[in-house]
Amino acid sequence: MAETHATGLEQLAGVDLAAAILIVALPLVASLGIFLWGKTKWRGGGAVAVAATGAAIVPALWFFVRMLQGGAPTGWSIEWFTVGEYTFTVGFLLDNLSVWLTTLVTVLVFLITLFSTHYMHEEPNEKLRRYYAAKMLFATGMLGTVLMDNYLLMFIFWEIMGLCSYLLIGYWYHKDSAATAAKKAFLTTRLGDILLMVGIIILLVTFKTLSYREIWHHPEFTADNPALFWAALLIFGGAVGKSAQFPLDIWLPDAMEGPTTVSALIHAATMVKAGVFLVARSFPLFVLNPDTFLVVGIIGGVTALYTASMALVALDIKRVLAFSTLSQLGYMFLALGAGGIVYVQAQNGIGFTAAMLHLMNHAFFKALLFLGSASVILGMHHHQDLREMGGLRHKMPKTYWTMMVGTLAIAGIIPFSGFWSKDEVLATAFKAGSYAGVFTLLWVMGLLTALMTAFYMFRMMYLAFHGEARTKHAEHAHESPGVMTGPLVVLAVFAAVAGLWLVTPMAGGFEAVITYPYSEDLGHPHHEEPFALLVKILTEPKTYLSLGVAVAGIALANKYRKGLPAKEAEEPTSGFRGLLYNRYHVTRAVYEPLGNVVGVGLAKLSDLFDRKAIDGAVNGVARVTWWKGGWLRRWQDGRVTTYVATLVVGLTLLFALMTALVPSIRW
Amino acid sequence: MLPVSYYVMLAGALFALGLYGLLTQRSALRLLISVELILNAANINFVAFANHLGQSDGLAFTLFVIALAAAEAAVGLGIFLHLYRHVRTVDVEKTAALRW
Amino acid sequence: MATLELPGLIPYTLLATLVAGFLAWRAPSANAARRIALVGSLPAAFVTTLMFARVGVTSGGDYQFVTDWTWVEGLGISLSFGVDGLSASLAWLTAILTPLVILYSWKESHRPQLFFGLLMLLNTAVIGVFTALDLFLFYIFWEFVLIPMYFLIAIWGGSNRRYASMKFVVYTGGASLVMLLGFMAAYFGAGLGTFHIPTLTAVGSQLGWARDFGMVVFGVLAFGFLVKLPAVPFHTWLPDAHVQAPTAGSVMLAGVLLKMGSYGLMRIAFPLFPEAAMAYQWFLFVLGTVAVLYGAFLCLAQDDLKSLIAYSSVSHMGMITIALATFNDLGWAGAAYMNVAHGIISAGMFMAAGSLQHSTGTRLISRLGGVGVKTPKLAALTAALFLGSLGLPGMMGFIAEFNIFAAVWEAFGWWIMLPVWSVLVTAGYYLWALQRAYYGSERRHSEVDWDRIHDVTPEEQAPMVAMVLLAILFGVLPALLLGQMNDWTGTVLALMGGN
Repeated sequence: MAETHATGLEQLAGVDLAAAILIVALPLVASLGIFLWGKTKWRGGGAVAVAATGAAIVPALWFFVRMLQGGAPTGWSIEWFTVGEYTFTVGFLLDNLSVWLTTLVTVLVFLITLFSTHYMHEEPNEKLRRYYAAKMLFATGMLGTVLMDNYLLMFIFWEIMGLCSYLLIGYWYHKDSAATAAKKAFLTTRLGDILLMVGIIILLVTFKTLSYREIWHHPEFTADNPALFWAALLIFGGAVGKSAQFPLDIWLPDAMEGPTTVSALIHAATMVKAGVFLVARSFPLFVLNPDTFLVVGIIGGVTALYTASMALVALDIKRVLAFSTLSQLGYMFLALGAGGIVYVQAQNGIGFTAAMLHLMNHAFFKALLFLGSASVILGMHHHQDLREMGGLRHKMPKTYWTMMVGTLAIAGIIPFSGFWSKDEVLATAFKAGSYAGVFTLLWVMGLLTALMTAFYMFRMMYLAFHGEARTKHAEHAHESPGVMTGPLVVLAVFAAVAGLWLVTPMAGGFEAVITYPYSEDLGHPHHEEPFALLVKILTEPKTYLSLGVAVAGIALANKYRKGLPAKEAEEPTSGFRGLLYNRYHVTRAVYEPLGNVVGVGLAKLSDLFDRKAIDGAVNGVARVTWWKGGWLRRWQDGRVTTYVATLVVGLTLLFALMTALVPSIRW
Repeated sequence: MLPVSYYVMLAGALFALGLYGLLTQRSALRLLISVELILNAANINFVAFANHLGQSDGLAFTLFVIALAAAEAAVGLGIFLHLYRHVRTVDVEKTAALRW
Repeated sequence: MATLELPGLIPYTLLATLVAGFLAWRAPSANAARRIALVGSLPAAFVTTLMFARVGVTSGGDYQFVTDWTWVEGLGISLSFGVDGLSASLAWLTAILTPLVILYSWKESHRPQLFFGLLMLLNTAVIGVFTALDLFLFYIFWEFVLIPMYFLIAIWGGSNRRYASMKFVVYTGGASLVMLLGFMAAYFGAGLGTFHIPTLTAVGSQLGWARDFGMVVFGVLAFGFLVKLPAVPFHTWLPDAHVQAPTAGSVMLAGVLLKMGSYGLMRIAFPLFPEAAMAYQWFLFVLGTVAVLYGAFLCLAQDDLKSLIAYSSVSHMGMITIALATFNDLGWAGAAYMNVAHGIISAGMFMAAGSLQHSTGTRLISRLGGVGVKTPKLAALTAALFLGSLGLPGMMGFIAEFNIFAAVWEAFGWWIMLPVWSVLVTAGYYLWALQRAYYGSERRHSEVDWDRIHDVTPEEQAPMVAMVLLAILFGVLPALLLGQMNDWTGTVLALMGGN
């Protein structure tokens, strides 16, 4: 077993090592088992999946509790393979960042899997096993991404998640729309992955290692190397793909073709967060070249506003949530970008904290909202158009109230979780504005986004749950059973209180816990005590500005309380609403031409060239040979006299040549 | 003795005649005769030079050639006989089937 | 552990395989022929596995299981065989593929005795190429490969088989003649009076070739190997050969025959002329990049699934060319690894294409649509193989690509941004083909008898599953292969830089 040198990590051993391995191994084994026996013996595999994910929470919590008690980071690694002077390893890195995120993921995966046992119960077993096997493999992927200690292994699990996303979006693969959406998702994220891979390769060749801590502590880890600037941006490129930021955001709304529980898990709660995690994990790399934070922040802020605008007119309940996910992810990157600037300039780690806090909060309330919408969809007999709903709050009270908690959280109303993180995100953006002017603009955009978020979320809630039932499905809707509402309640509780960790002294407050991994590497950014932070937030006027903006948004949505306005009954096609509804026609205007004209065009051109020019040359050689041969063979006319004549002429020529060329010949 | 050149010229004339026959005649038998002419032209050459140089090598070769000519004529006649039996002609212009 | 000798092991194994092939050809019935062939292919599989394992456990840098019998002493030709880190896995791959291919073609009903006999002959010839340690012997086996392949295509091939088989033989055979010229030049130029490869390569870098001589001879040698690879623009024999060949032929062609080209470069051309090779570095990089991108775009335009897979072979072998151009450990080990990876995965892909044709009666994507509901197992296997080929981590293709791209960055810096886009195009064409053929709604074309579509049969399924499992095995435990390849890379690069 190779020692991780220069990392100063306490080594994982014995029970701890087993626990760490279990976290990743349990879902993997479950996936394999479900794939093999899910159809015949395990009735689709749902029970096994729930058991495995539930069991995985135990070791995660074990580490989580230890972390809260102030445990130091631990790690372990083993050599995987060697090529030349490069050695690649497999290993765990359990520091505050990975432990916290692991616990979050295991809890969410468990709740969502439990929920899906009823949600998917109408599906036949042979299909269900694909669902659960892919879900479990996905869980392995996410947990592996978070827990691994080096870029290569992280990348491998990252791609495994991409595979599962493809499989799950295309779950109903007999549907054209689903198959297309799956392919679109895979290809778009693949583009990001290519950039990520090049970034990783740059790190590999520069430092001869891919272990995070070995890189941060490497003597050549300085800003002198220009390639490192690009490495950071390339790595961010991977995050842009995976977290669906502009301009690679096009795949996420289409990914709603998959089952709603898939959307909840992969496209809201976990996989899309991997990009944020990646940037957080690579924070020291970005710090080397602070200009990279500008890119991160700008893309985050732009995405937040751009995608929020699309949600304003969306008519499908899942689409609203998809756009909102994109928008909130934008917030996280904005926070990381701004936070990086603030960190570099003022040694303050608040931006990083805000991003991570928002990650956690969003995971809870978005999972809640998606599962809630799943509950609605099920109650509506698989109809998800908002225009067909109405008055559901009387038929589905538990769903309604839990979703309301989530909505309040996402809108950023105190004291729900979203308020705390969103406020800190905006505060960081504003603070960064004093160092880099563009962030002030991004702060304004962030405020606008908050307004829009509150608006469209409440619009969605009102259209679905308030007013009168607009169709028979809505009239006959019924509440979902306990196995579904249970997770909703649990998530609602988290969505309500999770954000308070920022201002409560649990383990010294969220900021202290989450910035810990880098405090030694980056030089102990200073942070506030939780209570002081609470006071600061409550006394800062901008807090009330963002609160006010949120309330304004809710007020603007009031008209939907009574029902759907007439002009919104049809899908908008023209004007500004049409533009928003069609997502700014980006896919049709940019990506499709790119794919069809450039991609397929080049392909057809190459094919023509290959068949006509290159192969034409080859066949041409054959044709010329054939033709010349045809011309030559006429000599063989079967007549003796011709042959004799040839003989004579040839002999004469031979004699002549030999006499001329061979000087020593004597006849 | 006549100068060697006379014999060479005779041989050359015979050779030319034979060659002409080989290149232009249509009857297989005439081709055979032309070949005999060529061979005998060579023979004349051999004998003349054997005499001129006083060596017997040429005479030995002459005997070889005579024997060869006889054998070849026999074989050739045999082939043409066989040919005649099948196509009822010995005209080589008409027997050009082994062609492209 | 010391290197194992066991002289005679390889030639006798080859002989046994050949005899088994002969017996299969002359077998009294189809059943007997198949069984003889299957059983007869096992000794080679067993021996090569043994050698592969042994080399892996000891060192890939030295030749093992060496046989050195003199043959034509005056000319320095010997019956020399042996394996090392580079060839052990390739010989093993060939010997493993043959029984799987025999199994896959179990139900072959047209002249089965000859069919299986030819497969065994092919097996012998290709293993011979990979294990020969004498240039002359190498050439004999190299040319020998063409014979069974020609007949396989010409007799059991598709509608245009006469054209394809003739093209294959004349094109690659012609290139081989050029290569022979190179061999002769090397033989005479070295002045050592021997064709023995280890002897020649050991002194390759010190022979002090005149620069022009080295450049020309390397070019000539490389030409022969590059046509086999196949390198653009000398690749057009491949699509026709692949499309027209029966599945067994395509599998062997893509799985191992193409590797002969890269093997030749690595075993002979580069070590003999290291300086000249270095001079060609950028040329090879450009050649490889063109192949990688051009091949990938060509795939997008293909309607015939087999044609698509054929062009993807062009693209992947282009990756190997790029890898060889890097002249560093990562690249060369990556190239050797990619050889095996592509061999396994494309072998599987061709089997999948063959099964699709058996099942639906067509290989044309435009005639299919939504077939996946009727052939779920085949759809899953095809998807798995395609994903492996596009480099999904977890399967061996990724390890190969990652190593190669890392090597490219190390050697060529930002030029990596050219070939790296092939990864995206590759994913594009595979997923698009998958979607159009298997997924989506049913599109019942008049040429396809929908009701008779059946899922993959067990004898077709087993080899494909084996390929997928192998790809995953080596993807998860790459050290099994990389250990020996790494040793070999170290040895050969040291040898080449020894001057």
